[in-house]
Amino acid sequence: MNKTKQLFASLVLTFLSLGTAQASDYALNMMKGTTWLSRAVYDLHMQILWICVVIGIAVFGVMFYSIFHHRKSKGHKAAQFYHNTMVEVIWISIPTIIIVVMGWLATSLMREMYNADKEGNDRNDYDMTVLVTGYQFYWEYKILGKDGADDIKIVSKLDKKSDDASRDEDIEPLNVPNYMLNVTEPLVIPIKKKIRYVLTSADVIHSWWVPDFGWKKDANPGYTNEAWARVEDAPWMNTDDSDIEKCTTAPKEQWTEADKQICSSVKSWADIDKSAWVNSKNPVGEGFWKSVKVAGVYRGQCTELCGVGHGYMPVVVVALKQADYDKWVQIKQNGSAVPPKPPCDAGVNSCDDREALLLKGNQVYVEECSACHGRNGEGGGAPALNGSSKVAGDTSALAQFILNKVPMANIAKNLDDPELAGVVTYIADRFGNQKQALVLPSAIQEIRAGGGSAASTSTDKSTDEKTEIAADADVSATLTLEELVSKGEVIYGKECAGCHQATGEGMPPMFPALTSSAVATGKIDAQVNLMLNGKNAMPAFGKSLNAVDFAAVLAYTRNKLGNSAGDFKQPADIQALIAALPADAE
Amino acid sequence: MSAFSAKGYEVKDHNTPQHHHDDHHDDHHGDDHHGPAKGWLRWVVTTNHKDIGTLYLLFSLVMFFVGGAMAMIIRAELFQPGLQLVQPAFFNNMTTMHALVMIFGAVMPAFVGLANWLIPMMIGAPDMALPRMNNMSFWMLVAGITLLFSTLFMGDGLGAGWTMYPPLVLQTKEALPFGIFSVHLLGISSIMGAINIIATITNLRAPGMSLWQMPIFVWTWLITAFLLIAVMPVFAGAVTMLLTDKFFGTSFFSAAGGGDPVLYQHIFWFFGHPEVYILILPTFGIASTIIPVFSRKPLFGYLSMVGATIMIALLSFVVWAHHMFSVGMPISGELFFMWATIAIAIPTAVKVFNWIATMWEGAMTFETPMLFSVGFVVLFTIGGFTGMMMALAPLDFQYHDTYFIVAHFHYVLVPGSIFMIIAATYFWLPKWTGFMYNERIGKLHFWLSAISVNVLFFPQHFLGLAGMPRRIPDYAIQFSDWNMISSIGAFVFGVSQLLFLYVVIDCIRGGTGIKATNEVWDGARQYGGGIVEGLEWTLPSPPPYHTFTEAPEIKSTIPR
Amino acid sequence: MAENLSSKNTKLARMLVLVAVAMFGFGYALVPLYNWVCVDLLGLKNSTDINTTLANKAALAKETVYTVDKDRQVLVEFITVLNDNIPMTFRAQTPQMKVHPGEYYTVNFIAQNTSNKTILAQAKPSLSPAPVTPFFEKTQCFCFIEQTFKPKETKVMPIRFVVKPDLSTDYKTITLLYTFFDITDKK
Repeated sequence: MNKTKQLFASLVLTFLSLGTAQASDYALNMMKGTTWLSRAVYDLHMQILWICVVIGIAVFGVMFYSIFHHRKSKGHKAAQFYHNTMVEVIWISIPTIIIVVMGWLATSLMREMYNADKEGNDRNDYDMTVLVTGYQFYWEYKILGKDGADDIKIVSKLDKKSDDASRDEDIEPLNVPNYMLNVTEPLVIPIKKKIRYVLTSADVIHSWWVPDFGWKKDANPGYTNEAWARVEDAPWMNTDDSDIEKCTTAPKEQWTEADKQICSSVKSWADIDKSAWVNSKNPVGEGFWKSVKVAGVYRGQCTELCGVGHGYMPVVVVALKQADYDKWVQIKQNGSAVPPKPPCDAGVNSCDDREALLLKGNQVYVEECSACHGRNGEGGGAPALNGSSKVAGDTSALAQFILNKVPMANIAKNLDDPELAGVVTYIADRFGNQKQALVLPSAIQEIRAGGGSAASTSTDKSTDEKTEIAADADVSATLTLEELVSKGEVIYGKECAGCHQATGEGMPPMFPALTSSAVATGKIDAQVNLMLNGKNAMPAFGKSLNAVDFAAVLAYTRNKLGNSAGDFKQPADIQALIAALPADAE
Repeated sequence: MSAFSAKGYEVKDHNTPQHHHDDHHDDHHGDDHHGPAKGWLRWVVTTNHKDIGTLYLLFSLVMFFVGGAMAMIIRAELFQPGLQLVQPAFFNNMTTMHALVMIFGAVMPAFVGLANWLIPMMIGAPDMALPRMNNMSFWMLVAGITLLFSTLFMGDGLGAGWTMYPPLVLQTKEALPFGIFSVHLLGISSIMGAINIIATITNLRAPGMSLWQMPIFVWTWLITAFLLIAVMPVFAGAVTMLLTDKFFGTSFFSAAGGGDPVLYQHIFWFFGHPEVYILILPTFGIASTIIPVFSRKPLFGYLSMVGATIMIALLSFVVWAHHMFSVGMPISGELFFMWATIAIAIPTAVKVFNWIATMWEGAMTFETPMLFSVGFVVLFTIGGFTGMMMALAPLDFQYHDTYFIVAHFHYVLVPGSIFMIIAATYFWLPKWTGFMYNERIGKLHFWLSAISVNVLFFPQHFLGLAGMPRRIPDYAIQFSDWNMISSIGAFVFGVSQLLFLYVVIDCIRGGTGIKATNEVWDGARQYGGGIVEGLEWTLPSPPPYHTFTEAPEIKSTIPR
Repeated sequence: MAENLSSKNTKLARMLVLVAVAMFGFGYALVPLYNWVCVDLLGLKNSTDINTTLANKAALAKETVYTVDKDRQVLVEFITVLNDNIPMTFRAQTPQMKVHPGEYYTVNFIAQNTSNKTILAQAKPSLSPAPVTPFFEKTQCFCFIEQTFKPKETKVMPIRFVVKPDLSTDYKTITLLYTFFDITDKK
């Protein structure tokens, strides 16, 4: 008897001590969040929770009273009733009433959420639209441009530190700031704006959840969903710069209650590790983040099982004051804080003058070229442009070169004439110091048509490349792994190192690392297939390498560069595969 | 230590039969009228409901430990942030398999095993109506589960969750067709079991037992069996569509061909919600059988119990989309499914009130089955509260697919279904084996389980509210402490179940040496059959191989 | 008695098997049922392209003339997604336009196959918010048929659409998503 009671008491005590003494270390409840909706949801959650607690106390109270008093060991004699209509009617009615109340509360919140009847919250009148696309396993955001402005694209992957710490046992997750909840680039939004999120997916079903917004929504492939959120009402959102300066200038004793709240927001923003957001793919650098004095950071995760990386696709939203946001947009669109100009295109707003071409070219350079040639032409994965004789020389030769030389040709073929004209003009101007250079889209069109070269938009480039295949390669010889590897090293240096680097580390995400990559360590046939047919920026080498070189590179990548797959293929096997490639449509 | 002493039963010589039935008397049963066949073949070819019941129960016990081991792997990986033990693909494989094994391998077969053992004895029938089909459905279950386990050795196995949502599930490699065929086999097995149970209950009740006099466990199983027949084929249809989408070029769930991946979720949950009631309704029947016996009082509100069960079963067909509130439905849809769902709280509340009213003014004793039943009522009700919270669509936008839902459904399934299967085992084990089990270890088993199950699942509410999604192998630092506590609870809970294994084996071997009487529990005959005498308690313990070859007399225990 | 019972059992079992088979069929019946409820009754999801294709092909023959509401403008945004990293580029030539309900507009989408293989692709439209779906009528669309892209081929593909004037004034922004799916292997 006593033992049972003691056990029960100690259980209760354990839970109480967890609930009180260490409450600060343990997150216990739903977060209130930062939107009208999240707070409404929180309030309703608390109401329902308390109703349940009260019902629980009443029901369990009666039950435990009975358990303690109506025992055989206490000599209680069992009554023999088994039915009481009145009681049963009462206990059907009471839950019904409670449920109607709960349901009614939820229904009215639901209607407000869908804006069916809430005044001042005009349905579907939004300040901006953000397209959220789920990928295996990251999020891509597009802030849709207004009045013809370009969309701002953000690729938001799990940050490298978290990724490393998750897989590497030597790195302690505790030392990683915002472990598993940080990204390479956050979604940036303005505060106090009603933002409409349109969600979709490019592969499987994902679900986008920011707890601070108060909702989650599935991203279904081929379908759209939408929801909205307005980040509002934190005290700092109504401040100006002088309020924030107080946090550093005025002594703490003079802070009002409002100041304290504001300054704690300023401090927590300052404490946030932003290093993961600063990377070569993002023009928004450290300087910008330093210039922002206060902002809100809201973190969430994918909540629909989407495969092996499901746990690895966090969501980070940074809400900036309008002025900071505008600055961010400018940097994001132009690579610097200069005011935006409408870029030219193939249509009405044609790219005929130098200024428009340079602007366009800058954009294209940042997007397509800077990953290899460096943001300032300093080179890296590819030769430096600064001081290059090609860049300082004839511009149409330069254009021809870009159009025909792999891997640039692969990028160039996806550019339209104005884009290519722009980028050639821009490169000649900026890196070749040719201040009068002007390559018009029409000139590019001519080169494309006349050169019979790789990148006209609807034909293929196989004829040229086929001639490169050395005729004298002996495909029938059986080679050892060593022979193939040493030959492969040379070919690799020529054909692959430009993008994948001599060390095999690549330049993610555009040019993936080969070291320990799934392709170079996985099934050999998959790699052969990829090399034969190409993928994205990767050219199809089936038409440009001879079978011996192909086999050599294959062997080299699988057995060097830190890989040891141990397998390789003979040139004869490759030859058969090359021969089986479909003939090109002429 | 008086609390641990066995006071609820009296030790009697089991050779003083009250209703002795001559088991050589009858001859309309063809080839098995002389007791079991000899040797191991007995278990392969048996058509005896008690043998098949035993097979089902033992199979389920094994699966309980296999599924539990998978849960231990999951909790061990989640013990700390970072990946220590397994890779994400294997983690997903474990969450998927844990669910499938526990649902289709442990809980459902356990209920079918109980039904096999008990329903014929409770309604005074000599055996199940279709004994040969009975044998077949058991072995089909074994085949299905074997096929399911075979997927563990195929690449990454099944890793898209037990719900198998496309398009993700269609990315599964070799394992997919095997998983689907396994679901087909398991489905056919359950449907055959359900048909058998309905036929038995409909046609083999002892003369004089009307539908409205059946023991409540029989009632809940009858309703469950109808649910099974109604929804298992729908699930089979859904996975067949997956199969044809993957291999035969159909586009049921592919937007490219005019399909819709959300459609799968509708079809799946049309099966899935009744399925969760399949996992809980027999539980209600067991609680309604055990609580009156140990309260020494008739079950309160027999008719409203049956009515509430029927209501719950009917409502279960119109609530499915509450599993999909965040999928993007129009407000009318969200509200309809929300209201239908919260309506279920009413019959469920009635059940809880009836159990408490049964205890009220009783003369309660707390042997292990009663302890588990009381634990069930409390913890299941807590699971009901969180269910209520999640039924409210605007709140579900926050709770959905977090550890809050994980906590919820484990509260209703572990201290719900699993506790009551354990309670039923303790309750009827003396009847089945003829020996009392070790009460002291049984009680220890209860207390360890009841405490650790709360340490295991209660913190998961906090994790969910704090924002931890479900089905992730690694998590943010702020979730570390509760995860660690939860994992400790899981390990204690897991180890505690070894006590159960010990008690069951010990009891089968007659380790306690205490022979069980016919009635086993004081008052079982009077209160254990609902509103009529509990027929299984009139038989010897253990009952002879063939029972009720002559229909027994039905005696009402309460004035009508 | 025994004969009787066993035939009773068999009869009941047979009936229940029939019920099970019928429920299997019901699972399949949920497919058209879903489309009927969600597309036709609620008009929410344009989930079956096949259906809308036929409807739109019929509409193509005669463009219904609506009264143009010159006083009202609706912003239509065009967004594109490539499913499963299909090697293509795909964008709307005009990313957004303000339209008058009742007036027909044409927008070009530009897609290029960047691979050396022929791609057979199907575009899937989806409108957000979903309730505008029945009020957004396409009379010409590249999504009506499968599109074949030869290696490196670029296509300019128009859609012609009208926002029906009876669209509730609640709606001020409509987003039209096209997702291209690779169906080369499906054929």
